[in-house]
Amino acid sequence: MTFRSVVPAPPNALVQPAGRTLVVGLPLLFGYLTALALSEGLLLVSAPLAAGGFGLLALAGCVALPFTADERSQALLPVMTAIPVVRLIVVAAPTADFASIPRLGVLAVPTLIVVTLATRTRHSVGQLFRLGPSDWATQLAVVLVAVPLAVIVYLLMPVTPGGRGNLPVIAAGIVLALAVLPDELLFRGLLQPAITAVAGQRAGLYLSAMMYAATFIAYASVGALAAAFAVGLALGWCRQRTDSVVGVVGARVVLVVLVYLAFPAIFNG
Amino acid sequence: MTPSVPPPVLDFLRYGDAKASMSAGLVLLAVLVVALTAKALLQSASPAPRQDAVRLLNILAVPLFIVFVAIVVERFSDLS
Repeated sequence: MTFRSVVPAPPNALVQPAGRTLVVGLPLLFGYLTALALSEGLLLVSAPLAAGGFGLLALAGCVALPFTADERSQALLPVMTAIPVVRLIVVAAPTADFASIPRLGVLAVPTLIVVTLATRTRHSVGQLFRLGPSDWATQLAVVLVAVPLAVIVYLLMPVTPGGRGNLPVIAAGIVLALAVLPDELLFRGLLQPAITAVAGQRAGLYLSAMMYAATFIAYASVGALAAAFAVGLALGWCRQRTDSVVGVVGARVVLVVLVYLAFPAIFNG
Repeated sequence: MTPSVPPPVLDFLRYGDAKASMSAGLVLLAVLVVALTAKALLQSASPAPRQDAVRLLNILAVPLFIVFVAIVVERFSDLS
């Protein structure tokens, strides 16, 4: 006995509309990573040129959307567009006169708007903060991963003194915590699951860590790149294992507070 | 550690050509204009434009507009 739908299927219902042939795969992801790294590298030559690179990359994401053929590519493109937009904001926003920690706090506002808009293309912001299959104890364990990571980062990428400007320590800690939130939501919250859906677990983990590390190219330091890649890899792995962003956000907050505030106070007096 | 820009680039943004006509702010303005134009064209082309395309353009336009307003306010405060 078979059931037949009372609604007649439109002709060629399973065929994609003409021109929708773009599927985001590994070659395109590597191309995007190269373009992002080149734009970051241009920061060493000229900030307006780098801004142009970020702008073109963001616009390319918008141009590509109508040609995407599958749901996973459509989910990934807003995130791939959001990253160069955030970098363009970092370069172009008039914050050069701020000390580094207040500067991060000011930049966090437009970054959070980008991340919220990118999140809302697929699901609600609240869904990002769900615990997943893991419990609070697991999330707490993820937060503790930040301590050894912070030691590695502090050794590889020493912090310039005077970063908090005139801010008291507590206020600087709060600003740092708020500053890393959108950044972490973008790279581990949105980018990693979207890339994993397209490229698989292992490639997704490495590619998202490499994209995160690419945003440190302008520091022109192998230590900074290695530290960023290690952070991206460790937090990305935790994100994959727990299927939640709660623990990794907590870990990033602990990491930056240790690296920017606690360790300089302990080791430099 | 948060991806920002290193001290040499910050120095350029403070004292370099950033204050002249070839600034990163102008690039931002160009991208903003392109995004807003694309959004206007998309919305005028059909009564029910593709929501995902409009949302993607919003990712560009909304934060860049806020930063553009901040740049304008900063320039005026520099003049006064």
